[in-house]
Amino acid sequence: MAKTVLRIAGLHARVKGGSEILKGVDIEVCEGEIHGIMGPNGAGKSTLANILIGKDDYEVTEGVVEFLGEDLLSMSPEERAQKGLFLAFQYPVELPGVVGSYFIRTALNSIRKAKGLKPLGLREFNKMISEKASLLGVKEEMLKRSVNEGFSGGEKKRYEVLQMAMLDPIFAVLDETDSGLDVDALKVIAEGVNVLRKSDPRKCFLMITHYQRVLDLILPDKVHVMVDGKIVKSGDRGLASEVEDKGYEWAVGG
Amino acid sequence: MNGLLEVDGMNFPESLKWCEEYIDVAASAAGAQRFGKEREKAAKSLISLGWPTKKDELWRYTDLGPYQSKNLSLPVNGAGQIKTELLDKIPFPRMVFINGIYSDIHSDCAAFNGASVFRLGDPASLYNCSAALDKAFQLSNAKESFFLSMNGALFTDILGIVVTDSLERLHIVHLNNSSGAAILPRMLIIVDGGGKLGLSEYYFGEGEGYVFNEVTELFIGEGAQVELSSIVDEGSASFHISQIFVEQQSSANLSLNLLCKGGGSVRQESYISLEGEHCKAQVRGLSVMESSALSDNLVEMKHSKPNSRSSQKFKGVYSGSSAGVFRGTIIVEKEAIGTEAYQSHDSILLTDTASATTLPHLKIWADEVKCSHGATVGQLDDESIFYLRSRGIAEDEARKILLNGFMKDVLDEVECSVVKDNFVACKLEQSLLSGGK
Repeated sequence: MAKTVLRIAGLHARVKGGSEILKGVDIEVCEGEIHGIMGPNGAGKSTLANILIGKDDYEVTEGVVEFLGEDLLSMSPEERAQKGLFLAFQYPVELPGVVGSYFIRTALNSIRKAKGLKPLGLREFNKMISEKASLLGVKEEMLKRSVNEGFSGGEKKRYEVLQMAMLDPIFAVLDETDSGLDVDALKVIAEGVNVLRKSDPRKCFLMITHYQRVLDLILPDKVHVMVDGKIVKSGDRGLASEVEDKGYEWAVGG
Repeated sequence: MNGLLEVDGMNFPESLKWCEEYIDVAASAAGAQRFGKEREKAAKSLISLGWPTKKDELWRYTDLGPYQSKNLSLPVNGAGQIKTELLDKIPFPRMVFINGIYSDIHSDCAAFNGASVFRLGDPASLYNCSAALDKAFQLSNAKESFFLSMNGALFTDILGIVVTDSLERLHIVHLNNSSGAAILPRMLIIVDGGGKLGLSEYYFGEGEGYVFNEVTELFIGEGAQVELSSIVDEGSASFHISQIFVEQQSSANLSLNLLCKGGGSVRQESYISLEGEHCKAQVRGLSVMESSALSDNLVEMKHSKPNSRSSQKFKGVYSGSSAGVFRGTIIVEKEAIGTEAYQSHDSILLTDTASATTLPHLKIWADEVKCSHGATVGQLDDESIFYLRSRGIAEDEARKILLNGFMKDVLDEVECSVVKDNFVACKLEQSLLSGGK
């Protein structure tokens, strides 16, 4: 049986000092699997993503999250990234004055350092990033600009995927990376995911989305439907189209 | 002893008693007689104005008490104790002043083509510079203030730079370590005939309780260009005031970059007068202060003729209980239509006890002008720190990256890499990061 990479069990969480958002979430992702999480607005999908990456606006009141057998919740955000977890943000922040290529190189070398690897030299890095940037349709000029500053919504999403491709995580969470994108841009993102998978078939992805269409391009092994802080239904990829046809109420009721 | 100077009859009040001895020495310095009248006028004004207090609007953020109660003295020649390793990274041509006194052994500015450098105190250097010297005091005389008068009454030397062609870059270094001294340099710069000047100034100090009070007059002739970048890193119990007076003729271009990374109380006043059309003047400031230091910037930008552009862009990062003050004035005279003048002050406070104050002042008498001012005060953004951390970057490193990002647009405009490197290699990492927690 394939090794478990991420195990979420009985997870309850709330906004610090606020009401409960996650009301018992169980998900297990094994090596090489792609999971999709669908659900209406306010279901808690992004909260789950933020808890996985370590945003401290939330507190976990119950349950466990294990990443490669270790307690994920006790790690700092940077440790999580260094151990191979990545989140493509739904709304990436702008970093005025922080040049993109410098930022990505610092991130990459921080991760390499934590793994006991030598930092990547400038030349090697430049070669690597221009290859991946051109593959993902990120213009070289964008790498010289401040991170996300003045980027369009679509450019920001591509930039997230470029970071993912560069940092080469074991487990990537894509939080509504598909929303607001046209079909061509979606294809680019799917391409990014597929390139990573090709490099190492053990890599895992958690796709958080409203829509089925991204799951037509990046075929999930499992689909979970989340409503009101709970996984109300799990199934194979056929579930995605069923939800799209019948709506979330069906999922809750069924 | 000094026949021309009638200061003997002057009665300095108790808080300025030290000036009596000082003025005697200053007035008898080489070449000083030439400016006897200016000295006398300044001395009178010094007495009548007296030390400013916090009740003066312009000084309400500065505590001058510790200096006022001191018997300031003539600087001692501290060449013996000075940390000259600070000079290692500063290239030639350069002029080094130790406690305001020219240090021949550390300086070298061999003959320039199209530029001359002279000192009032060095008669041999004055050959051919008489006409230039006549311009001394012309710009500073338009203002009257206590510290301006202190310099005018007690200066001992004038450094002159006259550029008619191009002077790629001259480095001027002030090393201060004379505790309890009043160090009063004076500079006159004339760039003419479409000439070009790059100037880097360094103010390094470590002594206790000295006053460094510099006055600079800068004439930029038609079509001439000046880039002046300075870095202040004075002693933590010192008072530093630099006042620069600039006059620009048509199509003259000024880029003035004031970097400050240390000191007790640092006051930088820039008075810029755009006397011709199509001038460009950009003044930028960047201060990174800690403990109880104060960075107090004052800019007065005066547009007298049409179609000139100016900007004042000041930024600061404050930790501990340090404070930043920016007073920016834009004056647009009636005739100066088509003026564009902007100003901004952005601050990051790393602690609850740090502060930033913005005092904009726009006096616009002309129609058809574009003027704006703005200010922001904030902390390092938590969302941004988190974003960097989520990419594997440790928290301290993330803060450093964001601070460097904040400072980048000002530093990018500093042409001199020596000044820039010196600034960037500041204590930012340790003190600011811990101050930010």
